[in-house]
Amino acid sequence: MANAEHVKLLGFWASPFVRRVEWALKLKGVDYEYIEEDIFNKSSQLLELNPVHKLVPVFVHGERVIAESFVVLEYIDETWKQCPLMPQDPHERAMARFWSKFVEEKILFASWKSMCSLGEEKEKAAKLTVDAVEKIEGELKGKRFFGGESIGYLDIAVGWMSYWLPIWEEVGSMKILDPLQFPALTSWMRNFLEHPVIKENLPPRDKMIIYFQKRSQEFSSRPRG
Amino acid sequence: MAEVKLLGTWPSPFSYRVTWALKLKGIPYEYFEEDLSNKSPLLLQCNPVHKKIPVLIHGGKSICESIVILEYLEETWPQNPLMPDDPYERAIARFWVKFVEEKGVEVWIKLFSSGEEKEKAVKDSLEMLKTIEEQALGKKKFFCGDKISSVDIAYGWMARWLEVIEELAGVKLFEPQKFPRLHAWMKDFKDEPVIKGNLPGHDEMLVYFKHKL
Repeated sequence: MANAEHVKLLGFWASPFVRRVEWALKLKGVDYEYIEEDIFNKSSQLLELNPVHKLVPVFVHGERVIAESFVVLEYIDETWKQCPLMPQDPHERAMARFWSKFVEEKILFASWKSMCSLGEEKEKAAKLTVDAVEKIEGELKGKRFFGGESIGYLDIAVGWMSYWLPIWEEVGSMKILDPLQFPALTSWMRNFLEHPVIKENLPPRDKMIIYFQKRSQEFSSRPRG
Repeated sequence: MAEVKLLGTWPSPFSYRVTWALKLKGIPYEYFEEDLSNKSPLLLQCNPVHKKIPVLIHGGKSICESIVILEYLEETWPQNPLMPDDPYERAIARFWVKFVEEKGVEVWIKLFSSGEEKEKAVKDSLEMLKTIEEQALGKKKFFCGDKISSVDIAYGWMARWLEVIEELAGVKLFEPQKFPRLHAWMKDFKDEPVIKGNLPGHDEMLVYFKHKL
C-alpha cells in the first residue's frame, strides 16, 4: 500500500515552511524520518532532490519527491485521509487556497522585509503588513480556527504567524500584531499554540531570536543593487 | 447547476487561463469585459482584497486568483479533467504551475528595465526557459502527458504574450534551436481548437502593451 512506504523530510529547524509539513504529518500520525539540512552548506542529497530551487522542505515518499510546502501539504492530505486538512466543499477549499497565497505574499514577505530593513523602508513594509493582517483577521469570523472547530489547511499554512511573527517583531523592533486591533487573530494564536501537536513542534524561542538577529543583520548590510 | 460568470479583460493572460479551462471542460458561462480604469461595482464587491481580474462567480459566490479558479473548476466539474488522477502526478503539476507563477511575472517585468538589471533579467529568463524545456516539459507532448492540462494552461501566456514582450523589450529569448521542445509544445498548444479560437490578436496586443509602457 502506497501509504506504508518510507517517508522522509529534509528540513531546517528554523524554517516555517518546513514546520508546516511537520505539523501536517504529526496531526495525521504519519511516521517520517527527519533529516536536518544545513542550508548554508547544502548537502548533495538536497541539491539532487530539489535541483530547481535547492530549498527545504523536500518531501520524499517512497520514490516520489515533492518540493514547495503548499504542494506537499495537498499531497499529504490526498494520500493520508485521516484527520482531513482541506475543507470538503470546493468553494471553501478555494478560500483556503486563496488566503494561504495572500498571507504568504502579503504578510510573510512584507514582515520579513520590515524586520530586515531600517527607517522609512521598515515603516512602509510594516504598514503594508498591518493592512494585510486586517484582511485575514476578518476571515476568522468568530471561529476557533480558520478550519472551524479543528485545525485545518489554512491554520497550518498561516500558523507561522503565531510564533515566527512575534519573534520577527522583537528582532526587528516593529509592532504588527496589536491584540486590540486584532482580537480574533490573538485568540486564534493562543488556540493554535496550545494545540498539543503544535505545542510539541516549535523550535526553541531563544535560539530563534539569535538566529533571526543574525539573518536580519546580514540582509540589512547587503549593498542595494 | 447555478450560473457561472467570468469577469476578465481581453489583454490579460490570467483571464484567458480561466476562459480556456471553462471551454475545455464545456462549462457554459457568461463573460463580462472589465474596464480596469473604471472598475465595476461587481468586481469591487467580488474581489475586495485585490480588486483584480479574473473573478469567477458561481451560484453567487466569488473565487479569485486564476490558479485557485482552475482548481475550483476541476473540483466542481470533474468532466474533461485538466489535472492528473494520481496524487503524486498532481503534486508535480502543482509544483510547475507554482514555478511559472513565481518566476514568470517577476522576470518579464525586469525585461523592461535597462543596463545591468536588464542583462540579468535576460539571463534569468533564459535559465527559466531552459528549466521549463528540460525539466517541466521534457519529452512529453503536453506538460502532463498527451492531453492539455492546467499546467499547459498556466504556461499558455507563452503562446502569445511572450512574443509581444520580446518585441516590446527588444530581446530575443525564445529561439527554436535553443528550445525545440517548447517550440513544438507551443505549436501543439495553439493548434488545440479551444486555444486557437481564443487568443488575442498579436497586433492589438502590441498596440495595447506599447501604450501601457
